[in-house]
Amino acid sequence: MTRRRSLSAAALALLTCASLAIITACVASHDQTWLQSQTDGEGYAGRPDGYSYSGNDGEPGVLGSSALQGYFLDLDQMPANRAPVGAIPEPSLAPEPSAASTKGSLLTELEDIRMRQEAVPGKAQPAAKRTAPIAHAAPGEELWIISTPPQGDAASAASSPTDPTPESGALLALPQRKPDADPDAPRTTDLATETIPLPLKHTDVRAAITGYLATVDVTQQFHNPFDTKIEAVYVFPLPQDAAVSEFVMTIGDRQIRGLIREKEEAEQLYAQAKAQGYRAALLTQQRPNIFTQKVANIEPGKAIDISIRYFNTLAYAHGQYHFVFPIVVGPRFNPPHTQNPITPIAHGTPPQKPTDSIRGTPGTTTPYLKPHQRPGNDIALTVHLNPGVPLTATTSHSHPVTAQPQDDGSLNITLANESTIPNKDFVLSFKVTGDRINSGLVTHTDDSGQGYFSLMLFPPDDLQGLTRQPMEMVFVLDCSGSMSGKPIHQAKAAIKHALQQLQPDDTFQVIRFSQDASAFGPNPVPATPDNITKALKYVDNLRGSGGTHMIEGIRAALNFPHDPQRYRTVTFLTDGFIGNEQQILAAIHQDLGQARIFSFGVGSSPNRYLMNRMAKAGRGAAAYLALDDDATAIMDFYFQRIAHPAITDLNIDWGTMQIADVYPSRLPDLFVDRPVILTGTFTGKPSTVQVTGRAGRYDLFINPVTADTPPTPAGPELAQVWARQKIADLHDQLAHSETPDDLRHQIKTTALDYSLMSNYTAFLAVDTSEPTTGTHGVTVPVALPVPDGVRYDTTVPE
Amino acid sequence: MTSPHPPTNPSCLRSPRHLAVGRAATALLLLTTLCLILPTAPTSGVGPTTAPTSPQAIPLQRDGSPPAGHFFSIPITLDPQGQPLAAYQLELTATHGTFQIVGIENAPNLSAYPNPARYDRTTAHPDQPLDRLILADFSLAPPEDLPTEPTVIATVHAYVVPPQPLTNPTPENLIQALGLTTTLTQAANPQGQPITANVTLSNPTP
Repeated sequence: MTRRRSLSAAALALLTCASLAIITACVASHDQTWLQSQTDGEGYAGRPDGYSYSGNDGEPGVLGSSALQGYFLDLDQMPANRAPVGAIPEPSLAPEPSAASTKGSLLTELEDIRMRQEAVPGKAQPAAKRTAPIAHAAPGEELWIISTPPQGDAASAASSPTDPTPESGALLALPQRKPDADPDAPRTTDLATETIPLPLKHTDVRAAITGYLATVDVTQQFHNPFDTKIEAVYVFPLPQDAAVSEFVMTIGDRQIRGLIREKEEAEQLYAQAKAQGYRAALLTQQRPNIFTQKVANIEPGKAIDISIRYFNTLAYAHGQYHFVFPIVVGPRFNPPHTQNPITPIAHGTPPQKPTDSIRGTPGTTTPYLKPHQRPGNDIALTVHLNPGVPLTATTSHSHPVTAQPQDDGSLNITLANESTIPNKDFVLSFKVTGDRINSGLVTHTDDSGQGYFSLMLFPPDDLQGLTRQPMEMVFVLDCSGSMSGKPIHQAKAAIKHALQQLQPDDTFQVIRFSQDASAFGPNPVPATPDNITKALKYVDNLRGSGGTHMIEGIRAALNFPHDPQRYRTVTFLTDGFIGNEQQILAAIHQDLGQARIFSFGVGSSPNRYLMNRMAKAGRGAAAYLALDDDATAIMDFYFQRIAHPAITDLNIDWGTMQIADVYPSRLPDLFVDRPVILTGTFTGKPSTVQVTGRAGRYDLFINPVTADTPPTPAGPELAQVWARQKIADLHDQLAHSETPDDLRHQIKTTALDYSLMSNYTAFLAVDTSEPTTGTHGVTVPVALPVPDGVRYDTTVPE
Repeated sequence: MTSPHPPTNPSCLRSPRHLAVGRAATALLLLTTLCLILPTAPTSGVGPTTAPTSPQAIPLQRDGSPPAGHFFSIPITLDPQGQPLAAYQLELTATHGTFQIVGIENAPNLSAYPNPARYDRTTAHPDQPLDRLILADFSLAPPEDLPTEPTVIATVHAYVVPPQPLTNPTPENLIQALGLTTTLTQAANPQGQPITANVTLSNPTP
């Protein structure tokens, strides 16, 4: 039956768009029914007034800057004349400066082959300009760089104090750049900026959003601009709840679909294929939001594309849906005893294999470019936005975009500049008509009789009429090196504004952590004007430096006696650039007590996995504070949410449905304006469910939620949504479980049954049609830029 | 030199709303037919075949020693015997040694089936690394664009270790040593009706 179910789901996946479209309309419905036919909604293509775009600069066709310093589109305020699609001009808000050109300097680490012990010239250059022969590693040989003798123009230009070439003793592979490998590659025009050629040439992202589900196709175009065969290794992020379900390797017009396997098995097969000279690709997961793509045996001048498809559910907050595509992994700090560390290194430094000090397994390295270096790759991103009901506002918080309305009422949103440096998350928010969404229940029963459901619970309006009880607010600020500069400035502004929102009955505490933790006072103090003034000065004096020992901050925030008269909220402000997420989640699970954790991801590319899981483990909520956001507005949203009591002690009467495997397994609290989505399996007939809870001293009833069963084939995605949530929940339990092996087995089995990525499964594709010639070459990692606003010198060890 | 831009998931771009209702309904019918037939479909008339593939070199390891296992590709040819092939489902199994599938390739020249087929992989024998693969696909192309002659509809890439070392590990010998067979579960025309077809593990005979 499992096989049958899986195949049915796989075959029906080709009609995903249709099914998602049907699901779409439910979310924005205005009555008690979550599901509603798409045709019931009014597409804005049919609006009599038409529309065009206007930003704060007044230029049409560009999503202009919002109150949160983002880029917004407000269809309700559009002029009456609809702008022709083709007339949308270029954005007026200047994008990131495009990458300038290069000297072609390249240092790559050698991972799997030995090198010969021989002196070589210092910098790899275009082959036509080389003045000295370059040594090539051969199997069974070792290559040691003994010295870097002076070179010609190119070398002297690169021999600045920031020259990444090691002087001696470094183990480096120096693939020679193929002279005609890529004539389009940028060349040096500015000595202050050096573009680094990388095996990742381009990333193409195409997202289709229907309702609260996004289906995203990511194509990574790898190429080999060098004159020796390479293996490309790329560490990249995806949303933490992404359900990666497809993996295709494209070589010319040949497409090879990869299969999901147990991780160790896939790694062994990949190693065999690589050793025998076959083109192969392997996708593994290091964290729920960090993946590694390996592509073996890319011949000089050749290209291999890797396409990944995933879907995820969109977050809903402040009356808007939020689509996030993370673009770069921030440099992680790994405290001692970190399991499976993710270690930042400087681009061009010798290969290092960080080791899990507990299990002895290898970790992951992420090379980063120096501040004057630019990656030689770019990104294109298009979002097809079709919520099924009219859009009222669309905002790009992170990048300038252009928008093209489609005849069917949908909107195509595109990055305005493909040469944008891939160094910050893409964040798009949109609002649909109606004041708010409603609770709803969607079910699907497969051929075997197994039912799946997704229940969205929305707190009732009358919650807003209740006032909150006095609070004990604990602010925890990450003062590590990665926060120095703009991130900590933003975080401090947010805390200072929050302090001034406290009420006289409240108490508060401010805790900072980096290498260690310290606090504003030994205990929380009353929110008197005098105390707040002192706290503002304390916050003002905080600076960012040192490592990110977040566990110290967790302990300081949770390990003190609870004031029974007050509702304790712990507000974390951090970029989350740590490698020991599991340790943090375990500590929260152990020490949470009566507190609630609200995590704020600060910066352009925060660790959203950590933020969301901290909030989930802490029964609170996650929010984000980007570098250009208005910190006071973000904090005002926060206080609006916590100014009313949450619904706690949720109890659900499932009627005739026999429920099993509900995730999250620990029911969260319901906060104002923050829906909660539960997913699970059931048998029996879908029915109306009744939800009750408590808000302060009051018992509350949420309106009955009636099940809605979408017509075939709308339902199969529910099975994968459920499976992904189950994997995430099991993964969280790993942090504190006494039976981790059983949990790992459950994760692996679930991932294999539903063809999903996990820490214990991997996608593999091998082209066995013919082996490539020569050795399998050198391993070339794709170096990353540090995220926008993050300082290289405080995050990447030299 | 520039990298070729890949097709960016045409299945996503080819939104169903752009399709005629009738064709979408046809596709649904085909899929429903396949899903219902899968567990119980008779195999009469579409029996297992082990026809050899065309010769293919099996490489040695870099150090010159024979590899522990072999990577090789298996073209799957489907002959719809003059009928337009709008959907199919087949099964691939091995009975001996190690048979691990590492990729499923599209037929690059087959416009009606531009993407690699969908799969469901299970283990034929829980204690042995023997994959059992079910392949299925359908096409919404016009009938005149659907294949009617023997056509390679997919190429399966696999890693195999024969139960006994082979002195001459040609694809033919590997297929025989592994007991590799394929069975066509069902094939259908654009109207969703079953059609008679044959499947072989080989390139089409000229």
